[in-house]
Amino acid sequence: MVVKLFGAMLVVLASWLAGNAIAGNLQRRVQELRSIRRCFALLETEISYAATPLPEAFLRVARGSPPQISAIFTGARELLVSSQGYTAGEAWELTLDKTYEFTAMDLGDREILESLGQFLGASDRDDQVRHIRLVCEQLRDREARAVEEAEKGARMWRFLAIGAGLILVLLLY
Amino acid sequence: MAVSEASLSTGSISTGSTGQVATVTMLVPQRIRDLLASIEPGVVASLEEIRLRLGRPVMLVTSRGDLYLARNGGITMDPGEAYLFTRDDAHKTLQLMCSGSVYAVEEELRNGYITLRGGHRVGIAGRAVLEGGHIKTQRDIAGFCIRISRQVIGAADKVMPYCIQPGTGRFLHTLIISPPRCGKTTLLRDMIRQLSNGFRIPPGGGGPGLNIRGFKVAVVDERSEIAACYQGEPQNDVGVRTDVLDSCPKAEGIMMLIRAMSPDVIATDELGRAEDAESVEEAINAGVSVLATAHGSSLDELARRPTLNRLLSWKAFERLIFLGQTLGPGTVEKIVDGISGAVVLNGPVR
Repeated sequence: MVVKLFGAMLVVLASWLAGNAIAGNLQRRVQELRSIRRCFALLETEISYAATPLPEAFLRVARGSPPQISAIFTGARELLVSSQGYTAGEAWELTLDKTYEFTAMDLGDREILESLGQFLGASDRDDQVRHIRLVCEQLRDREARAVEEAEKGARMWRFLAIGAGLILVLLLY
Repeated sequence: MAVSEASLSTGSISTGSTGQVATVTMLVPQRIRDLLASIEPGVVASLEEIRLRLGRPVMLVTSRGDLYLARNGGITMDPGEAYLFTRDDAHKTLQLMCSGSVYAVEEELRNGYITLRGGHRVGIAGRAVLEGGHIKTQRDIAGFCIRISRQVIGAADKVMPYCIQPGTGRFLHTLIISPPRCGKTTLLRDMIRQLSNGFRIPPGGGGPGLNIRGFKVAVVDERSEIAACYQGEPQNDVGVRTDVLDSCPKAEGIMMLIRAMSPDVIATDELGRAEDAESVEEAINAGVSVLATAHGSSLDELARRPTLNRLLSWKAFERLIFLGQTLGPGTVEKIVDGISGAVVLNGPVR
């Protein structure tokens, strides 16, 4: 009996943790979107006021960001300075491919980030600023929706997870 | 500074030529880079320019003539077999030259060239974007002229003894006169380096050898060709006592340097604009020796240009060095005393 009770508690605990993880992921996505938007705002300043070349600008932008976001910028920088013949856009897209899985962002977020690749570094200052602002705007929309999802979703997932755990316990015993 | 006999007689190229070219190949797209890697070292060593023109063969300008880069590797004389420079290549080349940041070189695009690490210059031609009637920048870049920089340490060995005033050791006001591609800038650069580091006039002509101490040299490098600064650091050896004012208009630059850097010698290239004459006179009056270059092949030709005519009739320059091609690029045809008109070195020597 004690063993059964202990097992039941374990099942419920596991499902609660799983629900929490999903909810946490939703929350993390909000933070990441916010942080990458902050990065782009910095990048815009670096480009429009100082015309800082991208390798240098990426480094500055990456400072103070959570690791999974700064990895995108530092990774792209590494490729750019490697003299392997990558353009800024290629470096950006390649790095995004590699670092995306470590972030909590979804495919839609990634598509927006990727869309910047074809413009990055390839035109004059005004044009760069325009594209970066556009991306920022799109990210802002997604962030607003992500906040909602995180609030509603977090509650829902936690409830669902605990519920599923309880049902499982009932079915097992 | 002791100068060895070998460098006195020939002039040695400072950097391994293939090494210099390697830094250039980092700037072209992978496909062209691979093709360039397939050509023989002998051709690479004689490379002067790489010309990239949209839709046309990649051309290698060497001291032995123009060659094409073949589609299948190696070089060819037949344009039909040549690799054609694509739009994608042009896009990538521009990006590679500016670390993926075209916006950071707007100023350079406006001037029409970018100076790269290693001191190479890339001339750029595309479609000009105008703002208020002036060029703001360029887009749709279609033509690149990559000029391989080769500083020749010792290029000035032959002329240095003629530019020092016997007795006082003062550097005489000197003008280098030369048609294009005769080694004007190369000679100027090495003169700057030797003046800056100090040099030794070898014994000969009855006189004993003479050690000349280094001068404080200030360079106005309007087109970043002399020192070829990359992010402020000269990529060419211009000597230990040399200050470089990079990409600065000559006339203003000369005035700034006289006031700010207390130079013994001011060096600059391509005198020609009206205000240049005035600032050169100012420098001479301030007791600073002037070293400059001018396009041209004879005194008569120079005299037709108002700025130079003014300086020549004022007898501003005490030494006129004429360069030519008689014995190949860098030939000194003659050196003339600018005051008396006497020929002090009757060439050609190289």
